Amino acid sequence: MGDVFSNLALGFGAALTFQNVGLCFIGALVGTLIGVLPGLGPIATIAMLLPITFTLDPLGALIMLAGIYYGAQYGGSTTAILVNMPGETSSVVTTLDGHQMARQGRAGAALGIAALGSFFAGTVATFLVALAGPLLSQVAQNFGPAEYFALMVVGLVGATVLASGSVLKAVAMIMVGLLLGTVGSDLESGEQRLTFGIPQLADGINFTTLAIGLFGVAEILRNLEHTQDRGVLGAKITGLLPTWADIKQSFPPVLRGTAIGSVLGILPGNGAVLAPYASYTLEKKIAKEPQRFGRGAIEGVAGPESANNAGAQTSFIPLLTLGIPPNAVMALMVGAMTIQGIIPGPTVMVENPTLFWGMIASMWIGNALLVVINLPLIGIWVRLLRVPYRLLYPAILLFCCIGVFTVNNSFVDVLLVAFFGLAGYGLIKLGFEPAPLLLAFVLGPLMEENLRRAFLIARGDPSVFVTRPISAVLLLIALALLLIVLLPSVRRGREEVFQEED
Amino acid sequence: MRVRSPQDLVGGAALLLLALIAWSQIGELRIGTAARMGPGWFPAALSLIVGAFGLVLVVRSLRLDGPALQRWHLRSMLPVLAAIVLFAFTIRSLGLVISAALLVLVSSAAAPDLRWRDALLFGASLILFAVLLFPVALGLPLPIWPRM
Repeated sequence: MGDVFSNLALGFGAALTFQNVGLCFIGALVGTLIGVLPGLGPIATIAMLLPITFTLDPLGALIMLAGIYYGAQYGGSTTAILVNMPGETSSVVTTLDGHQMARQGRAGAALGIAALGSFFAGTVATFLVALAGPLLSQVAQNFGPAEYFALMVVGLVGATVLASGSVLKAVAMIMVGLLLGTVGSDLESGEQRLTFGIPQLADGINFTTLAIGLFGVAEILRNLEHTQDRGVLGAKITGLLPTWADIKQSFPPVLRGTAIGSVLGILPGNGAVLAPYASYTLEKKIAKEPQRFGRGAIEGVAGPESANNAGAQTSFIPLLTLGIPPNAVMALMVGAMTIQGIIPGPTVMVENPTLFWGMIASMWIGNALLVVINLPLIGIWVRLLRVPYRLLYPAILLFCCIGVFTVNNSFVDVLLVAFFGLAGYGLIKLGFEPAPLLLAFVLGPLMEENLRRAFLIARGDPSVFVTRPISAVLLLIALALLLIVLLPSVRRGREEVFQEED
Repeated sequence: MRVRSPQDLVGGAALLLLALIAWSQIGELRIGTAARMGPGWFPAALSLIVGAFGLVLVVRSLRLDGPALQRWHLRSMLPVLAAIVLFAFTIRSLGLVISAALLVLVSSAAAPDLRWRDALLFGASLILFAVLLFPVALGLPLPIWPRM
């Protein structure tokens, strides 16, 4: 326990420099901005802004990128409450009661409780990351190639379980992602694989290129299909601080939401997305008057918003301790770390403690900054919401192109963005989900490396995956997850959950 | 035989095509054995698996009912993709100002509710901002003007 505090002190020392607080602020601000704007997700934004972080030191770069991520989770709620349109998928539930509150003239209270609940959840989750980090890192020290391979299988299966739509298609997307990950030079022999003789593909497909194409461009193409009509609430927002009664009413939901979000966030496969739904369902179930929900119940804002933010924080745990990203955003963080010369995994904490603890400390600082940004700047966000999409998307497109080009100064990468944009649009049209693909693409090379090593050590005997206890347990978990999702009752429930999203 | 799920049929066919393309690229790569995998082992295994998924989807589309194909909005798709391709080919020789202007102009044509005056004004300030941010403030190696 004492260790945690001395470690956190080390982290705060590193994160509280003028430059790092500044970067954290910029990250949180930019994150909130894109969170507020519907139709521009955190995946595309982080990919787009990655080149900006090249010039920074590793800690500064990661602090800023992390800021963008939880800033976006946070900003999404503003749009959900004011426009009845989720800025991010994770804030879909907030539209239900948050917007009703806004209609009753209580927009200020809804925004305030969302901000304060998120801050509380963020604080708790930051501590959780600090506590769980060292423990999991120790476990991971005993991991051999077989265990790593099994763990990644769990992560990928988790991604399909939580993907919307057909499980079969989600697994197919994972396979395609793994296949795309093999493009480039072979790890051992250096031979060219699947490069079609294009020299710029010798180092593999750049993951920013893939992410921006599949998420940035494809999203623009889809948004352009229908002109958006945004009825921003015209009235002035007053009374941002919730009343004492509001706080008393919201506190238990915030606590429960934080717990749900923290647990779901750690799960591989983007559990954080599910956290707000779980929290909302729980609050509605245990409420004395469930009929109030959907008509502006403050618990329906407080719980999901806390769950959402807690999940966003704890999803850093698998990344920081095991080096395995639980979702597509974290996969981008892997890329950012690799660019900075850091291999994510259990060794980061030992070899680079300032980086590890500095990043954790910055999460708390970032959460505090978000309260500062979100509450007084509401007016600016509202005005921003009135900018029509027809002006917005050329700007997004330009930043995407500049971002991709500057990664390698390669025009082929920009061409590939157009290609993957088209491919991503096609995937949407054919009912495939691109998020599992991106996750598998990042995990692919790691998986292949560990698979090859595990087989080499075991001399080609596949039983190595089931005779080693940790690996066997992990594979059983993966199997169980897959079976659960195929159960008819769960299947129906899943459809219901994701229907609200569409 | 009747196609019950056109979406799955096309999706499955696309996966089969992808698997075929990947398989054709493996060519000379050594596959190796499980104990000593060659560079071709993993991609070859994956293209077989992707192909299998494609096949399952195609078969399923003939047996289970599913959604119809959605229309592609070429009117907004083509300008956006053309703008990116144009940017790719012009950025190194013509510099950021001109290729960004081309990108904004061409991509704006995709908007169903386009107003040229707004788009031009906003585009001009956008390019100014991009020039000040990327090459000037961040020092990223982007040419600003055409190479003479």
